[in-house]
Amino acid sequence: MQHLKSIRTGAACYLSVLPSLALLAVFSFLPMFMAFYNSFFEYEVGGARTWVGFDNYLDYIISDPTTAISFLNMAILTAITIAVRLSVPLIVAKLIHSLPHERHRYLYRLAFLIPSVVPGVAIQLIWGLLILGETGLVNSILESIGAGEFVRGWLSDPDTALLALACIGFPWITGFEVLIFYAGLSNIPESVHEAAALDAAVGVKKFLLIDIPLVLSQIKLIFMLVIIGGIQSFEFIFILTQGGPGFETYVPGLWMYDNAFSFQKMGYASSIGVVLFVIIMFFTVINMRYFRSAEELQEAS
Amino acid sequence: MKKTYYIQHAILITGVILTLAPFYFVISNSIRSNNEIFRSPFAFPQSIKDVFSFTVLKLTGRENEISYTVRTTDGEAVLFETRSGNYAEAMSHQWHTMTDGFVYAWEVLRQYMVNTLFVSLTTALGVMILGSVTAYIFARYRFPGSGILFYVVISVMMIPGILTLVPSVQLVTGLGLRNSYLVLILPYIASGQVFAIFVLRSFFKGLSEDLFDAARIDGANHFRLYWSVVLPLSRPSLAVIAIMNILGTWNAFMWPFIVNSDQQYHVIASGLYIMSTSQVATNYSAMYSAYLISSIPLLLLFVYATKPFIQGLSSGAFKA
Amino acid sequence: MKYVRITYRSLLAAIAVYLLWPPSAQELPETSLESVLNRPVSDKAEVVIEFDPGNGYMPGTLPPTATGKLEGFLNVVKAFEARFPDTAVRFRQSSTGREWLVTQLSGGTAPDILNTNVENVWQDVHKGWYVPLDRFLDAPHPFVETEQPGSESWWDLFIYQAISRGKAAPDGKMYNLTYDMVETGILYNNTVLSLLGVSFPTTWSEMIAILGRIQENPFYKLAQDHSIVFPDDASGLADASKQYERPSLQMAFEQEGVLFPRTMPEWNTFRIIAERQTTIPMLTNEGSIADWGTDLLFDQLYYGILPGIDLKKDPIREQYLQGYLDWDEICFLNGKGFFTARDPRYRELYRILKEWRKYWNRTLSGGDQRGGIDLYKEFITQRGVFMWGTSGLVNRLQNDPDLAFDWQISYLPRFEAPEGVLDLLVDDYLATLPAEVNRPPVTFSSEMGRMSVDDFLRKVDQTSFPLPISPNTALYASGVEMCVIGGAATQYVVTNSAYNDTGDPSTSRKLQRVIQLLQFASLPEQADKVVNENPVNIPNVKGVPLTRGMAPFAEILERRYTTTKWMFTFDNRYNQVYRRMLLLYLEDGITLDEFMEWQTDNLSAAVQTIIRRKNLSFEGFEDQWMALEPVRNDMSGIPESE
Repeated sequence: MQHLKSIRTGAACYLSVLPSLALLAVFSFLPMFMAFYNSFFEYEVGGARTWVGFDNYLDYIISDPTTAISFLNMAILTAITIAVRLSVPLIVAKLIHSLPHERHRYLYRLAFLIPSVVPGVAIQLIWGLLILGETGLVNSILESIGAGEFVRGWLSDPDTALLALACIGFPWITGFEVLIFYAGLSNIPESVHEAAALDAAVGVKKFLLIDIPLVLSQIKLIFMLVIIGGIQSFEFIFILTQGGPGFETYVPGLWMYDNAFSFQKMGYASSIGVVLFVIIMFFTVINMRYFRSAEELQEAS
Repeated sequence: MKKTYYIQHAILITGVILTLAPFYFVISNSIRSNNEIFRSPFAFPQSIKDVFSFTVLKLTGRENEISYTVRTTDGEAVLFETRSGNYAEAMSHQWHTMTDGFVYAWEVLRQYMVNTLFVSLTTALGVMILGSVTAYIFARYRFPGSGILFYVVISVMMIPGILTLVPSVQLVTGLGLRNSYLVLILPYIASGQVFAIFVLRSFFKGLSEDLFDAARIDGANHFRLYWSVVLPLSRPSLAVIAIMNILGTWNAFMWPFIVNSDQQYHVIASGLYIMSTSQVATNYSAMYSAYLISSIPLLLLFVYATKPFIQGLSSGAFKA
Repeated sequence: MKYVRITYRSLLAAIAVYLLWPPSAQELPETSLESVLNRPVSDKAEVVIEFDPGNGYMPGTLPPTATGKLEGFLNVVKAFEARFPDTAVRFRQSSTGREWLVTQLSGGTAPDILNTNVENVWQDVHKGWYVPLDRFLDAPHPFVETEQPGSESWWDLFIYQAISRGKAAPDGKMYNLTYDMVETGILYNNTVLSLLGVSFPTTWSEMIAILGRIQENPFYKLAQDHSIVFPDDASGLADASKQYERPSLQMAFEQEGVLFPRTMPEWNTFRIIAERQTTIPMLTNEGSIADWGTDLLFDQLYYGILPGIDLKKDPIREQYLQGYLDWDEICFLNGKGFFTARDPRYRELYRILKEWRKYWNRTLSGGDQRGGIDLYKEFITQRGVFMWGTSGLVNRLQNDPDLAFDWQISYLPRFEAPEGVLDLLVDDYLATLPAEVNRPPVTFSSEMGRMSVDDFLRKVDQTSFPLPISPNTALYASGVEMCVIGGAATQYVVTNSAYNDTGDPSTSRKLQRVIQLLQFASLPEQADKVVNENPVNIPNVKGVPLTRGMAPFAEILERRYTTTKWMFTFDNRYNQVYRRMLLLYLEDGITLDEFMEWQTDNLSAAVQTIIRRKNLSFEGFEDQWMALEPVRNDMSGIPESE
C-alpha cells in the first residue's frame, strides 16, 4: 500500500476523490452550515433578514404551543415502532430459519419481500383509504360482526389517531428486516447450536439465550435506523393525517416543514431542524460505544 | 425422529396473508368501475363474476341467456343492453370496466415512471462509480490528509436529512436547479455514495494483498487494478448498494415533492401523492390501478435481484 | 437454456421500452394531456405565452364531473393563435398551493396567466408580483362589436358585477379576473324529506328540528317494530301498498309522522335508511366548516352591528362590498376586544357550530384518501340526507346512472333574531327555558340573576357559569337571510413573467398579447366552450348559457355578499392552527373555553404578523371608532375594551 508514494500519485488520489468531496461539500456540508447560520435569523422568501440571536430557539422550546405535544407524539410513535420493528421481524426470521427445507425458507422470504415493491407513498395511501378510512376494511369488519358502536374514523378521531398511525403496516413483517435478521441467524456457527443442544437449551429459552445475543449487532443496526428515522420522519404523517386532528398526531418535523414552506418562517424552521439534529446526535453518541464494540467483536472473531 | 413444523407454517402463512391482504383489495378495486367501488368496496369484482358466468353460458350453449344492462343518464333510458347471444359485446364491455382505470392511470403515470426510472438508474450508476472509486482510493492509497478526509466523508452519515431540508431547498432554488432532473440526481448521489464508500472501503481493505501483487507483476497500472481486480470481486456488494439505492430513490417523496412542482418532473412517489389530492382522487378505479402500476418496476427488480440481494446482505458487510 | 433466458429478458425489456416510450405526436389524440402540454410552438411565433388554466379547465384531463377529456381551452387557444399568428400559447400544469406560488413568483418563473384565489394575491400585492388589470378592464373590449356588452368597457361583459368588482385588493387595484362563479348549497335527498312529510326548512330552528328527526331515524324503528315487506320491483308495489291496511302499521306510521311509501324510489330509500340504526342528517367536512361555516355564522351574528364597527369606507370597493371587513379593520377591532374570548358573539359562533355538529357525519376530516369521509359517496348511497356541497357536484349527480332518489338544491336557512331575550333579566330568561335544559350551578348568585342576559354574557366568566341557551337559537342573530359565501371560482391573474420581454409593463408587447388572450377567452362564444364543457361553475360572462343544474346556484348568487372571509384574511399559520383546533374542538378533543383561548392567541399572533408584514397603520380608524360610539351604545353584545 505504501510503496506508491510519489507526488503524482498523491495528486491523482486527490483528483479521484474530488468529485465525491465536491458533491458532499455542496449538497451536504453547505446546507448544514446554512441551517445553523439561518437559525439565528428571521426572514421570508424574498424578504429582508433580521438577526434574532437565540430567539428562534427560545420561542420553539419555551413558548411554541406545538412543541410539547409534538415531541410526545414523536416519542410514542418511535417507541412503538422500535418495539414492533425489532420483535416481529426477528420472530418471523427465526421461524423461517427453523424450517428444514431451503425451498420453503426461500418462498417465505420472498413473500415478505413482496410489499417492498409497492412505493411507500402508495402503501400509506392504501392504508388511509382502504383500511382505516371511514368506509374502510376495519369499519366494514366491525359493522359486519355487529360491533357498529366501535366504528369511527380511525385517523381522525382524537382518541385513536395516534394509535392508528402506529398500526399502519400491521402485521409489521417488513422484508428488509426479516432478511437482515435471517442473515444474522444463518451466520451463527453450527458449533453454537451443538453446544446449546448439549446444554438442553430448546425452544423459547434457546431463542432468548443463544439466538438474540448472537444477532445483537443486527438488532443494534435496526434500533439505530428506527430511532434516526423516527425522529426525522414526518412524510407518512404528512400524507395521512397532516398531524391532525388538532395537533394530536403532530410531530416536530412537520412543524418545521410547515414553518418553512407554508408560513415562510425560514429561520424558525431552521432552528427546529437544529434542535432535532441535536437530539439525533445525542442518541448516536450514546450508541457509538455499541457500534465500536460490535465492530471490535467482529474483528476479534 | 421426524419433527413436524405445522405450527411454524401456520404462523408464517397467517403472516403472509395479513401482509398481502391489502394488495388483494387493491387489485380487486383496480378492475372495477367507480360506481361499483362506491357501493360495495370489498365485494368480489362484478366484472370477473360476469366474465365467468358469461363464459359458462357460452360453453353450455345457453348464449341467449347472457343479459347485461347498463343504465345511463338522460332520463330513464337504457343505453346499453345485450340479450340473445351477444357474448362478444358483453365481454368487451366487461373488459372495458376492468381496464378503464388502468388506461387512465397509465396516461398520468407514464411520464412519472420514465422520470423515476431515469433518476433512479442514473443515481445508482453515479453512486456505484463515485462510491467505488473513492472507496478504492481510501482503502488502497495513503496520501496526506487521507484519514481526515475519510472521516469527513463518513461524518455525513451523521447529518440528518431533516436538518438540511430547508437550506437545501433554498440552495437548489438559488442554483436555479428546481424543476429539473439534476435537482434529484445530484443530491441523491451526494448522500447515497457515503454509505457505499463506508461499506466498500472495508470490503476493499479486506482483499488479499496477493491479488494486487499478482496483477502488478502482470504490469497492471492503477486503473487496471481497480477495473479488473477490484470491481469484479465487489459485484455482490455493488449489487446490494445499487438495489438499496434504487429502492430509496423509488420511495423518496418529500424532496421531489418540494423541489419539483412542474407536472413533467414528478416522480412516482410525489406523482401518486399529487394524484391522490387532485381531481383524479375521486376516480378510485384509476387510483388503485396507479398503485398497482407503480409497483411493477420494483417487482421486476426483485424478481431478478432477490438472490444477489439476499446473498449480499448475508455477506456480513451490513451490520452495526 | 441460456439463450431462452436471454431472449426472454430482452423481450421483457423491449416490452417495457415500448410501453414507456413517449407516444409519437401522430398516435396521441390531440386532447391527451401529453399533447396539450407539449404543443409545438410554431416558427412564426414571436411571443410565447405560458398559461395555467387551473385544475378544473386544464385541457387533456378528465375530471369526474366531465363526460370526456377536456378540450375547451385548447380550442380557445387555437382560435386565438389563428387570429394572432405571431403568438403561441403553451399550457402549463402545476401543483397549486401557496408554497409553489411564492417560489415561482419570487423567482420570476411563474406562468404568465394562472388561476389563484384572490386572497392569495392580496397577501402579496405589495411585492409587485401581479399586474393590475384596471386600465384594461375600464377600456373597451377590443373584440366585441359596437353596441354589444363590453364595447364601452371590458367590465360590462361580466354578469356578477358586485362579486367580481369586489375582488379588488385593499390597495384599490384589481388583480383578479373573475372568469366564473362557484357557489355552495345544501343538496338534499328529497325522497327522505317527503317521506317525513316536510319540505326544506326556512329557519334555523326548523332545520335543527328536521335534522333531529332524521337522526332519530323513525324508518329504522318502523322496520324493526313491524315486519314490513319491501317490494323488489314495480310488480310488488301493489302488494306492498296493501300492508298499510293493517291498522297497527297505519297507527305506527302516523305516530312517527312518516308517510307510507308509494313509489319504487320511496320504497328503496325507506329500505336503505331502515337498514341502519344511524343515518347521517347532514354531510359536511372540516374544510367546509372552517371556511364557509365560520363565515356564514359570523355574518349572521355580526351583520346587525356592522354600522357600529365598519370603520373603513373605501370609495371604490364599498359600493360593491357593502361593509366588508378588511384585515386592517379586523386587526383594529381585535385590539378593541372583538373576536376574542371576551366577545360574546364570537363565543356564540362556536357554540352554535358545536350544537350543529351533532347532526354531521362522525368523521369530519378531509377526503377519503386521508382516512376521512367522501361526502359524495355517502350522499349517493343515501347514508346522508343533507349535504353541504358546491355547484361542482351537481354535474356528477346528474351523470350518475344508478342514482335512485330525488335530490334538490337549497340554501342554509337564517337564524331568527331573538326578540327581546337579550334585554331580559337572567332570572326571567331562565324561567322561560324548558325544565330539561341544564340549570346553572348552585353558586349562581342572585346578583347575576338581576343582570340582563346581554350583560351576563359579556361580563360573567362563562367557564364557571355557562348560561343555558337552547340549541336552535342564536342570541345575537341579526335575522337576515344567509349571505353568499362562494363567489369567484376561476380567477385569472397576470403575473410578473408576463412582461419579461421588456421588463416594463407599459412597453411590453407580450403583456399586450397576454391581456388579449384573456379578453379573447372572455368572449361569450369562447367562454361557453370552457365553462360549460365541465359544468362545475356558473358562468360570469354575459351571453353564456346556464347549464342544467346550475340555475339554483345562480339564484343563490343573487344574495348579499359575506361580511368577511376568515380563512384567507391572515396567513397560512392562522389558517392551519384555526382549522386544526376547530376540528379538535368539534371532535370533542377540547372544550369551548380551551378553544376560545387557542383562537384568541392564534388571532392575536396573526394580527401581529400582518401588522408587521403589511406595515398597517390604523390612521383615522380611532376617530371613526369614536364617531361610531353612539351607534354602538344602542347595540348589545359589544365587548368591553380593556
